[in-house]
Amino acid sequence: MRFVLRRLGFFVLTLWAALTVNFFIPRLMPGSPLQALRDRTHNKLSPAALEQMLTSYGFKPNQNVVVQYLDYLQNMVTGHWGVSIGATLGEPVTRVVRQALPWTLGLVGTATILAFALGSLIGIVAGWKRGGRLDALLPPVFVVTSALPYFWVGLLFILVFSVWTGGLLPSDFNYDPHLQPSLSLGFAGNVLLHAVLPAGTIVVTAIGGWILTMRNNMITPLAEDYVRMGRAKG
Amino acid sequence: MSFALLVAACSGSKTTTSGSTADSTSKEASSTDKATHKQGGTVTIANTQGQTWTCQFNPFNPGVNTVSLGFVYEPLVFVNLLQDQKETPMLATSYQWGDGKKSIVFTIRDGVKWNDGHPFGAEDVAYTFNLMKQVPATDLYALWTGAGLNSVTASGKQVTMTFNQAAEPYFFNFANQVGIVPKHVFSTGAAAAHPDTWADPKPVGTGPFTVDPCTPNNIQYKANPSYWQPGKPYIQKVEYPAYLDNGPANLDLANGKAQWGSQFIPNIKQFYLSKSKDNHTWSPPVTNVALFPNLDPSHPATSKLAVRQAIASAIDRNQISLIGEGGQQPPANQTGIVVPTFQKYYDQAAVAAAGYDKPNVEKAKTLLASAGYSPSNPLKLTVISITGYTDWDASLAVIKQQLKPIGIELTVSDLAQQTFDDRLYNGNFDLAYYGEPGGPTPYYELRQILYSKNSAPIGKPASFNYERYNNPEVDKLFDDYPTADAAGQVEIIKKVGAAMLRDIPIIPTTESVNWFQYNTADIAGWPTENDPYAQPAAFNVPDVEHVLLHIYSKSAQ
Repeated sequence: MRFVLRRLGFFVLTLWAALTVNFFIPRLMPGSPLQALRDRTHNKLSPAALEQMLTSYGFKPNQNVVVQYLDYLQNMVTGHWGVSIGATLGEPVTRVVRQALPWTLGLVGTATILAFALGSLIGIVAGWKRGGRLDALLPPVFVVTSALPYFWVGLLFILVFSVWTGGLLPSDFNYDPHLQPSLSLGFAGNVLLHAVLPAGTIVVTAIGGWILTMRNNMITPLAEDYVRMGRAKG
Repeated sequence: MSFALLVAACSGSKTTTSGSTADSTSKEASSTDKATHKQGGTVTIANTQGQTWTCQFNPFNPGVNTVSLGFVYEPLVFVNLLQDQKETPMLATSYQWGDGKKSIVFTIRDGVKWNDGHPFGAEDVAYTFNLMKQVPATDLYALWTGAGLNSVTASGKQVTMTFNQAAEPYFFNFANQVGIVPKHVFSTGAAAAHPDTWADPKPVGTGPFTVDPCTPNNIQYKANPSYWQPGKPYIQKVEYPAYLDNGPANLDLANGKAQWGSQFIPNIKQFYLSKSKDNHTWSPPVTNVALFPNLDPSHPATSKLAVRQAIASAIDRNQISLIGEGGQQPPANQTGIVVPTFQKYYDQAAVAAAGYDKPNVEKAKTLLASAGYSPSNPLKLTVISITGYTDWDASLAVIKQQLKPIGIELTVSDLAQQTFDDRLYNGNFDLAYYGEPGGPTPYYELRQILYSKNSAPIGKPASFNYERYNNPEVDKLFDDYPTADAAGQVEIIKKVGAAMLRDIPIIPTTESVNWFQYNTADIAGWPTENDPYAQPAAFNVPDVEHVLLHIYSKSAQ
């Protein structure tokens, strides 16, 4: 019980620190949402109108900063996250997060699990047959791949598997933009098709770590006497 | 009331633009000509957004009006800045200026319906403009404040606007850029409570398309069956995917998945044009990109005329255009008049007489020496630019090379956008690389650059005149422009051009363009260099409507 309470307290403290940093950093940076909006509209619109537009969306930079901070904390914990005053002007923040969340979890979550499963399996095989051909070849290769940056591998995949194949695999989007999201098999298939290259990128760059970890963790116990005994027994 | 109108009619200047007859000297088709093609086909736009769609279409929201204006909402009169402000009547069939151009009466088109079936009328126009007075956040062009709009009233089929000053320079804004909204939608419910923040997810407009449907990844527009021009639009569906980055957008353009492109494609010949004989590009120039020197005496080098003259003489604008912009932005000239778009205001002889028609390194060396600098005693200057603008970085690299032999050591400093803005507006720079928004004639851009009221002391933000130029004679030229007649206005601009040659307040290098790529495999009717009937980029509103009204599908014919 005390353990849970301690962890909970730690979580609350971390949350408060993160919220506070998130409040102050944008206010300390040069520029402002008004300036950003002026830039996005190429300075062609009345700054007074833009300023009033942002105020309508809840941007009150001239309010007392302490009042702003307390309002902000209260709004964050009660779920009143307000409306975007950035590039997606007017979009409720909850909607921005809600739209991106399933794709993020889906892609990164699934790819990471895949990388773990595949990586551990390969690591086991490499470790069991240590000194064999697999063990000699794979780990060095995967040390290199795990150091490659995501975006570079991604660009390479697009070039090789999408451009050079004349569009066999899609090069952009999470599903064909002409389709409407639905729970049909066709739509699901389309999503999976678009997921192949992105998931592949994550798996290729993440798998190296898992292979080496699993292999190295296996090497030590494999040298133990009880394993030698098991082997002797057949 | 009617007596006043009679007086105004007798003494004011009358400009009537009739509905279907185009200018008698031009043979190009007008957007309101009769339909000449069969309907059918789809066009896909590739214009990088950087964000997914919010599916909001409120024309007063500056974040989304490039997807609603032109597609769904229409203005009173379309003014084409590429054809010397040629006008095409849209929701107004004609207009008439009053005395001193301080008032204007529009005659509103008959027989137009909103896409929900309600009839359109003059009261919708009056409502739109009066809404801007009520809710200042919606007055995006500062009509009730800056332009001096006094009143907007509707009577029968006419709408009268009165101003407290000569309002012709603002015609482009109120007649061409304001999308007319329906009173019956904006005066009820959530829209009436907050017209500025209302999402407007199913926009009701008079325009050629309706939104059906919108998802975060794509906006699909379908032709409006009750559009007031029978038989138009020819294209029946428009797809507008939300590209987050130039990479995927340019790729889709190159392989033909998208046919209408509006961004900078580096190495365009190899990447796009060579992929298919149907891939074309034409990006018309509209404003200048320039070196803005700091004219404030606190910057001893750049505030010296000889130093600026030296820079203007040394640079080879053709090379900057060719190498820095891959030839996709034409070279600019020292008068700041963008050619060929504003050819009639351009005095080529004056440029040659001043010696800025081609680079002159010897003259530059002499000028710089007179200021006390030379290759053995070089002048060290820093130019600020924006991180990520790779073509500007390339241009600045060329400029740096061109200034070295005369004795200027240029350091390029790339800054984050907001940091750059801060320093630019507050005058905290030696040189800055930037461009102004511009407008339908050179008056707008030159006034932005040179009018002293657009400036501010160092340390305070300037709205447009970042270099801090202050010349009462030039100010007076700008003040005289609104009441001058057409010929007088050309003279005024030529005089301002002469001041640019004499004082070198900024040094234009290349001409900024509206990026445009188009594929003719199935779609014809695009605007071209020979027929620039509208600004062609998908982000040019309301011009986008006119491209949509001209293009047709070859396979549907």
